[in-house]
Amino acid sequence: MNAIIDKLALYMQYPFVRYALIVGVLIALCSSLFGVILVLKRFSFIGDGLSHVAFGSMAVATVLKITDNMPFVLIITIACAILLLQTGQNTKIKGDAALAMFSVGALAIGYLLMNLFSTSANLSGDVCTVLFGSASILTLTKTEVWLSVVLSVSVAAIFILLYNRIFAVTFDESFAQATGIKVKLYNLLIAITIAVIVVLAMNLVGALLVSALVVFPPLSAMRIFKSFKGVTACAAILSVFCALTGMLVSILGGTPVGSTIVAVDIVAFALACIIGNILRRRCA
Amino acid sequence: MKHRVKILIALLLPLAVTGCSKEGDMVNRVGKGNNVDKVISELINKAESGNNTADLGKGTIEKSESDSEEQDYIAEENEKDAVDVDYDLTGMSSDMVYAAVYNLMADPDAYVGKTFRVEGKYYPVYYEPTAKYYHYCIIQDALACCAQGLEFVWGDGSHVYPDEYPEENDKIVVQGIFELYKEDGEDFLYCRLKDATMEVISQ
Repeated sequence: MNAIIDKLALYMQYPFVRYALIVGVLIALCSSLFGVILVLKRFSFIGDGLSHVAFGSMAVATVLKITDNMPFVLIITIACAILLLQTGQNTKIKGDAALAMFSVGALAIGYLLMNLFSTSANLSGDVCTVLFGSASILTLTKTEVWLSVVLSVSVAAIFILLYNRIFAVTFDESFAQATGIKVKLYNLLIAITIAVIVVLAMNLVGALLVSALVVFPPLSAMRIFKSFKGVTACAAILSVFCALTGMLVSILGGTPVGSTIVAVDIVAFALACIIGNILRRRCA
Repeated sequence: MKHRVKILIALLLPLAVTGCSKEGDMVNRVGKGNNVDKVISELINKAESGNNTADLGKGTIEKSESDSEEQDYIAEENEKDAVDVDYDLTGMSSDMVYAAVYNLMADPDAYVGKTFRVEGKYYPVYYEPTAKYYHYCIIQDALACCAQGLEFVWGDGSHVYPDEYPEENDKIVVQGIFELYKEDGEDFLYCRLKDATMEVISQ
């Protein structure tokens, strides 16, 4: 135990480890807050689709030799999120089909571009890093760290300040519209926020595992709590705990960051299922 | 029955997640101490016990046995250096080494003047424009895609190549102060570890 604490103390000397832990916790918090909305609105898979779009735009940024690619990726992903969530109802290609099209299309184009205009000696290593986030969170530039902190705080602030309206839009759009809430505007806001979370979460767990960060904590919380407030609070605590545990385990044990966090999320989900079952039996 | 199966699966899930690693790997990554520290401790113990050979195990840097005072001095210097290291990359996991070296190259100004200890393979390079040999410690990363060569200057740079240096690809541990420099007539910024100590840990 002392050896682990000593090793952790040693690693904490490194600025990039401290940045990773701060940014990781903030990303986990944001993703869980809006993850609850995504799960309740049946949009769970949208995070996955948008992360593929983000991968594609990252490949374009690499080809264009844009050093700080996060703003570029952010703009493209937000545009796609708006397209998917806003025009999905009125177009010929409906909801899930449009999402699948965007998702696989962006993934394929991204990989194709990285192959054609490869700037690295090891393409597989680069692609693997982006898709599974093996060490992305540990290699953030200072600009990316600040951008991540500002965006994460903004997302959390939006959720807290507009909690009641987001709650109304999430559960019953017709009722929300009848009470004077501009549903379209709030859906647009949710779409933009989700795109921001996806781009941020890509740094933490990689493009392919973003959905896990968005979906697992709310689903685990739903096993135990039944109210929106309870689920949201529990999801936030679980998500931060799992992300922190996953990052510490991966830093100490040398495992890939993204998949370790998701593994901890899976264990937490299993435990939440057991606790939920016990609670239900007691109440019955 | 259905509930029991669910509980059983839930309990087995953590085992499935953690059960694939080799015991040896875990010991190596978490539990095992710093190999370099062990070597240095052995060196100091031997030096203190009156055996002035300063033997570094298998890969002792070949030095004259007559200069026992110099060996004592090296042992004392190693002991002092072990305490003064700002960033020790030798006990890190491969992902952490990758991240550390990436950050070192991405933001070198933040690390100027800091003492580093790195482990890797020795690799000399002859550069024709300056007609000089440059000595590198090649650090492998987790993805095996971005092996990074970190230049070092052994001591004051007076050691003679190849007589005093180890063989190419020998595993070495280098400890020195990180600095940035430019070659005369060049605009490129290079980085290296100056005033470095070097130990060969395996050949």
